[in-house]
Order: sequence, then structure tokens, then C-alpha cells
Amino acid sequence: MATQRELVERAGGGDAMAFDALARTAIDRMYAIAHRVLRDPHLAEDAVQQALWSAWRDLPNLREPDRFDAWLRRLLVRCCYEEARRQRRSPTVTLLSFDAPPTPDTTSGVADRDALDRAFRRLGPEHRIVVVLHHYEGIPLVEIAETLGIPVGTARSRLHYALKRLRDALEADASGGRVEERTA
Amino acid sequence: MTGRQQTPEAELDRRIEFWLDEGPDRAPDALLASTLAPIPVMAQRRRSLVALGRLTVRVEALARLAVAAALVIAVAGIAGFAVRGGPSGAGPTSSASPSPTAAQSPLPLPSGVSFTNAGPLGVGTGREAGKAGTYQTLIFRPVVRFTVPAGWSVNNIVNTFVGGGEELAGIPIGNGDGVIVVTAPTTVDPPAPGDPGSPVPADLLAWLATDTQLTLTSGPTPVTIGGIGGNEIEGSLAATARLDPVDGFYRPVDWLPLLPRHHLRIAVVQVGGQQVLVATVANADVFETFRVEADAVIGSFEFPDFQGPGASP
Repeated sequence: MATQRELVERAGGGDAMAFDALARTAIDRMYAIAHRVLRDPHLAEDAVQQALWSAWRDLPNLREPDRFDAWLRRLLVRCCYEEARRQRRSPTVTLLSFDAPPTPDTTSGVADRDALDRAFRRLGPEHRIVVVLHHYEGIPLVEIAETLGIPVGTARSRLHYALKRLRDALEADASGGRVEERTA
Repeated sequence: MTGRQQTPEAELDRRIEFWLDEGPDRAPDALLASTLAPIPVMAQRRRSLVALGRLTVRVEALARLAVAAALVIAVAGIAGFAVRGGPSGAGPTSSASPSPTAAQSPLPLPSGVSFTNAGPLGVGTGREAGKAGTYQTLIFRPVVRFTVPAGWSVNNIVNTFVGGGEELAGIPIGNGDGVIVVTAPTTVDPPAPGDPGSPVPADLLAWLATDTQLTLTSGPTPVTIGGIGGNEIEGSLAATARLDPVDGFYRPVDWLPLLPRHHLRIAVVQVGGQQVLVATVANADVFETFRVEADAVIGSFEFPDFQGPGASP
């Protein structure tokens, strides 16, 4: 079985089957990140597709095949930014149907989800991406800074700012904010 | 009385991580297929080819054609599966079956309006069936609860994303013949990026009633929506209305794009501290038919947070 490095090298040499294998391995994770950043399935699909096409086009110029994952993540982030800019106004369905089967509640709770979602949507993509990469992907800030091409201090301050906004939203909710109804 | 509770950082992190974990962790199958389909014919950018950008672009154009062909095949082969939207899309799903009217007179997507089920506003492919049921807004404020029959779709209008973040500006509820737009305007003209727009007048409906771009056929007349009293006007665009030179619409308030062929009814009710605008819009020739269906939907409106006599100041 070929290693990732071998697949990257073969794909860089024009082997579409090798790229197929790389894409199959990466696409779920890419979609998960893009969906969390963009909060829209259509935008997330577009971002992932563009990132993978960019990857295919530019693979011959990737100098360090072992850095493929980080490189692909950087392409994805760039495409998320582009989608955010391109789709300044886009539809997202965020309505709750009473007819839908009840979603098992988790410890985060419905009110948390609502408050976090609202606060998160008010963040710009540059803040969202840091939160998702750090708290969902578990990537250290140093690596996030490298991915984004920004100083570590900037990555840290973006995370701090974003978390403060999310914390404020949760605290406002806890200190008298309305609790969202889940069922009729 | 207690002060604000501090949320410990670790607890906050845990709650955020729970929330993030709730999203999808698998890409729609169709995404992989549509992404990989053009790869064999898509040029790679080698250093020696970078200078041949035009050639690369042409090959990409071919690749896009290949994608289109692949999608046609996929749609034909997997009936009912929406490539865009797919199984991870929230809310009511839609299956496009363009109406003859929509197919014969396609209209350009107006700038800044992207909801998909508002045929009469010039968007979308016509009647797109949604699931009947009672819905309640999760993000939009004030919370609105309403019931739609089968064949109606519900979408959101989302305002600017970059910079100032993202705000849900309104909800279009439509059946392909017309649309009910529920919005709580933040400005009375569509702001450009970085432009705050003009503030909403204290009496929005009275202000709208004096809009010389509108020709009123009735109103202001009293109306009750969701148990809350307000007023409404009805009419159409004036023949001399100044349309947006870019997209051909006139917007009396942000997120209410109108065309000369539209008939409209605009109600404003005061819900809590917000003026909520409920507009019914359809082409003039079908407005009366649409009015009957729209009235049933609007008649189901509730504002769960603001019920009772004290709801309207």
C-alpha cells in the first residue's frame, strides 16, 4: 500500500488515481472544517471543491510532500476566505421544524447552541477559522499561525477575541437571556 | 440580585467543543464525485506552464464542462439526490421542478438576494416544494412561529458576512407564485459594505406610505398579525420608480426587492422594541390568488416571546 508521500509524489506527477486516493482520505475532514467555518453546506462544498482543484493544479510545485496535510489545509482556509468574500449574502436555512425528529440533547444544550451559533455567525472568517482549527481540529496555535501565514501572537489574539465573544454570548444567555423553545 | 456569572475557561472550551462536534463530519458523496470528475482533464500548473495561464484557463473551462456533464449523469442516475445541498442541508429540502412560467422567463439573480424559492422576486427556478409543518425561527429575532402547507419553502436572507460578521436579515416564505418576506429592517436603504445605511424611522409604515416610489391602492389600514396590532398598505411600484441601475429592483427597505410587475402588501407590527415588516409580494396577475394562501400562512404567525395584551407598546 502506497504511503501518503508516495501518493503525493505520484499525484504531483500527474497520476489522477493517486490524487483520487488523497482526496478520498482528506475530503471528510476538509468538509467538516469548511462547514464549521462557513456555517453553510453549499459554501462548504464549494470551498472544499475549489481547494481540492487548487491542490491538483499546484501539486507539482509542492516542494515538501511530507507537508501535504498542512499545505492542503492552507488551501482550504484560503478557499473558505474566498467563499466568504464571494458569498457576502447567501441563504442559510436555520429554522427548526417541530415535525423533525427530536435531536438528542447533549450537555451543551439547546440554549448553548443557539447562543454560540449566533455569536459565531457574528465573527469574521479570520476569527472563525482559528476557533475551528484549535478547538475542533486540536491544532496548536503555532501550527495555525503557520497555516494562516500570520504571527503566532496574531493567531493567539484572534482566538482570544473569538472566545471572548463566544463567552459573552453564553454569559448573556445564562444571566437572563431567553431560553429557546425546542418543541411546541 | 446576582452579577454576571463568570464562565470558567475550561468549561467554556468544553461547551464550544461540544458545539463544534455537533456539525457534520462527513462530506456528501456527490461532492467527492463532482470534485474528482474533472481531474483527469484538468491541467496541472507546472512551473514551465505558469506563464501559459491562458492555456490553463481553457483547460479548466473544459474541466468545468466535464463537471457539468458528470453532474447531469449523476442527477439522472441518482434520482432525487440534490448535489448541492445534499443530505447535510438543514431545514426543508427542495426539489426543483421549474414551472412553465419560470422556465420561459428566467431572470438574473439580483445582487444581494439569494433566497431560492422566491420566483416572483426573480430568483430561483420556480416552484420548489418544501415540507408542510410548523416552523420557528432559531436565529431570526424576534422569534416567529408559523405554519406552511406542502409546496411552500422557507429560507433565510443573510446579510453581510465579512467584516461586520453575519446577520440574519429576514425570512422569505414562498410557494413559487409569491413570497412573504418577514424582516426587521435595520436600515431603510440597502447599505453598501461599510455603510451603515439610513436609520429606520420611528413609524416605518407611515414613512413607507409617503414613499413616492410606491403607488398605494389602500391603506394604511389596521391589521393584526400574531395577535399584535399594526397597520398595512397595499399597492405597487410607481411607474416612475427609480430602479437600481445594476439589478433593476427598487428596495423601499433593505431586503425587500421589488419589480414594476409586482403587487405588494406591506404590514408593520411593533414586536417588542422592533418594527417587524411582513410583506406579501407576487406578480400583479396572480396576487389575488396568492393573497388567499398567504393570508392563511400569515394568520398562523405567532411571536412566542411577545404574546398577550402587553406585547405591543
